[in-house]
Order: sequence, then C-alpha cells, then structure tokens
Amino acid sequence: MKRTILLICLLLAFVRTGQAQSLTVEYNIGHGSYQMSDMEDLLKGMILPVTNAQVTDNFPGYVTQDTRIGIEWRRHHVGALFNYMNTAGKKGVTDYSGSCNYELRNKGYKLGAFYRFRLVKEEISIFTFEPYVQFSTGVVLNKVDEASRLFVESDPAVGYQQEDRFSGKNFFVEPAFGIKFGLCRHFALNVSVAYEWDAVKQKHQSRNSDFKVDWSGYRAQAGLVFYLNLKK
Amino acid sequence: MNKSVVYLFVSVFFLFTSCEYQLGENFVEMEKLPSDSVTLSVDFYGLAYYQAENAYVIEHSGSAACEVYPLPGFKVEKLVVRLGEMEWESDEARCDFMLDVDRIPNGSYELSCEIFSRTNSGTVAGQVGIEQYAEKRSWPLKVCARTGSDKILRYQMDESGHPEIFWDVDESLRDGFDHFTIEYSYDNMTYIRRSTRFDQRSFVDERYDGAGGTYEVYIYFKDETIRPYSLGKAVLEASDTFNPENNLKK
Repeated sequence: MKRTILLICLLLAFVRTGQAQSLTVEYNIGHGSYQMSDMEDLLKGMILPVTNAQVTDNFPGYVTQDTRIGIEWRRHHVGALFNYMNTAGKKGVTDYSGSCNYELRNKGYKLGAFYRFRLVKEEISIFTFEPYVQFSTGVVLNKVDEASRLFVESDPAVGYQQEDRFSGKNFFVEPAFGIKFGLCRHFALNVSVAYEWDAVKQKHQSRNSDFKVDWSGYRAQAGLVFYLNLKK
Repeated sequence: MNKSVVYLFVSVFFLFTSCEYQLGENFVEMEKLPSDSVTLSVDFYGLAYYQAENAYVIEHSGSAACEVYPLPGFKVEKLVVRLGEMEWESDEARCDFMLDVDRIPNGSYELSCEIFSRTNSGTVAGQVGIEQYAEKRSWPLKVCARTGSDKILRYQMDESGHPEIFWDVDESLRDGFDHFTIEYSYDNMTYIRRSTRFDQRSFVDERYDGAGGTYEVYIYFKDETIRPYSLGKAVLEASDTFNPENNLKK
C-alpha cells in the first residue's frame, strides 16, 4: 500500500513538472488463462477417504480485472497498475448422504508499473484510433486457501474441516499489444491482448506437497480509459 | 480527483470482490436405499423351534449359531445375538455361541439378533463407515432343561404282564408341585404321560408287550425357573418279567 501511495505521489510530482498532458484512470475487464501445473498435480494426487471423488475444477482461466492510473504525454504513457485474478481447483463428491471435498482457491493481486508506447494516432471523424505496445512488470501477491471437508448428514460429528492459507510473491513481466479508441476528450475504449510470464515464483509448502502458483498465461482485456487533462 | 473518479474506484472495488470463481459440484445422484428390513432371513442352528410352543426351546447345553442372509448389495458388518443378559458378537454374517443350560435358569426369554449392515452403495457416508442399516429381530425362547438322575426306579410286573413303575417324592415338594411326566420308550417310539396328581406314586404301562423299554419319571414345578429333575429310571429287558435288581421285593 505504501508503495502504491508513493508511486501516485511520484506521478503527481511528475505532473507538476509540466511535462504531462493528462492523467488517466483505466478499468479493464477480461479473461486470463493460467499455468497451475503444480497445483493441478497436487489436486490430482490428493487422496480422499472416498473412492468416487472427481476433479470438477482444474484451475481454469477466469475473469481478470485491471485498474491503471497513469500519466500520458505525447506518445508515452506510464503508470501504476493493480490487477486481480482468481481461479480454483476442486476434487470431491457430493451425494444425499454428505460430501467430501478438497479445494484450492487462488487469488492473485498484481501490483506494478506499466509503460505504453503509442505506435500511431489516426483520427477518424471525431474518434481517434491509437494502437500501442505495452510492457508491465511488478509483483503478484498470491493467496492460496486450502480446504478439506467431510460432511456426513446423518452424523455431522464425524465430519471435519481443515483449512490452511498460504501467501507468497511472484515477479512478473507482461508484454502487450492494444488499441485505444478515443470517443471524446475524456473517454476512450481500450482493448488489449497480453502474455503474462511469472519469471520468479515463490514455493509454498502444504501438508501434502510443495507447490508454486504460476499465473503465466494469455490475457485479453477490454475497458474504459478516463482522461483528466492536466495541461492544454 | 473529482467525485466520479471516487465512484469509479468504489465500483471497481466491489467488482473485484464479487467476481470470484464459482466452484462446481460433483453431485452423484443415488437412490436412497430402503431403511426397512435389509435381511432376507435369519437362521438359527442348534436350536429347535417348537411350533406348539411357538418358540425356540432349549433342553440341553450345546453350541448354536445364528446366520444372517442379507439382501443383495448389503454386507453384514456386525451381528449381536442376545439371550437374556448374555450377548455374543460377530463381525460376520454368522455368530457362533454356546448355550450352557446350567448357567441359564429355566424360563421364557427373548432371543434377539441385531444386524448392522453396510450398504455398499458407494455413498460418502457409506464409504466412511457411517451409513449402516441396523435391524433387530427377536423370537421367544424357552429354556426347559431338566436334571437327569442315576437313580433306579423300582418296578414289578402285574398279573397281566404289565410293568408298574414306582417312585418316591419328598412331601415338602407338594406346594410347588405342578406335574409329573412319565416318559417311556420302546419300538423306537417315545410316549409321555403327564400327571398332575402329587399323590400318584406309580404308573402301570398297559401297552407293554414284553419287548423291553425304558421308563423315566420327571417332576415339574409351578415355578418355571425351578429346574425339573428326574426321579429315576427303570430299564426293562425284552420279555422281562422279573428283574432282581429293579423288582420290588414283596
């Protein structure tokens, strides 16, 4: 949090130098795929006290949400980003008599910085067409919730619920290509595709095995960019 | 920053927190098995069922067994057989037990067997050993053991060649007396005569044809818990008309 505030202060200080053209606030929503091979193995190898347990969720790609605050001047755009990703895995079985499940829920909070370089700026009527390339980097704060549950309806006392939580950090780099469609002076539509690579991944130790959370994968996003002009 | 930016941040925050991956469910549809009887039949070995008494009757000590035949798909995990305060347990469909009439007073009892069976249906509760079907069945049982005797009864042959058997009874038993049984057998047949007269001290077998036979007299009491006992035995050889060992000397 301190780092984020510091980054915003730096950006505002940079604005005051008179170099900036506009402050941008951006929200994108999209879809991301992940490479959770360690966790998939952990889930697959998990031995439950029932034989007919099956993997119902194997860390599939899911919705990503992304906010960025930046300063844009001429063809350059730099700023800070905050991104939220989550996915989960589950193995188990449920029937009328009860349920037995093992769950792993992953959450990734990305904090970092980005640099965006506008390739061209085409004006079509009142709209603008601005393709760009972008490079983002930073840390992913991982949170993994592990839960084992057994519930027997006829005798709840024999059931159990074991929960564990793991935290760690990954370092990521993410090249991207995107296009901004300027709708008016204050708003633009943004679409982008990217690939996140978690270059450094922290190892976690659970009771069952060690694992790493790997958020590497493709990203496709679309959103809105809000411009606050600082210098005319 | 103006208000709209603040609203934007708040909206984004709510979006973040509400957009969690929803886990699926591996729900297996299973038919709930009937909770009434899971037992096809229960058989007892070593115990005789007397239709007239409508009960199992035990007269002698010996080994016995209870065997349960469950419905297909069920497996007996535990079997508990109870007789009075005695209890035998088995983790199979068969439970062997020993009946010692010297340790069981005569009387009426409830013979029961409690059956715990696993469904093998593959449910979660079944697989962790919680889902069991318990069933109890019971039957009336009578312990009618008698105490034997080595005593020889006197007898004499009358003019018609019929044996007359004599016995003695202590007068103090009059109040508790219920009946005598005179049990005699020959030609592979057993005959039982019952007499409720305490004062009766002899019995003439008018069917006797000289082929030999065995006679035994038992005394029974009103209180069923008092074990009947033999008052003695008389053994007649074929064409026996006079046995110096047994015969009453006039």
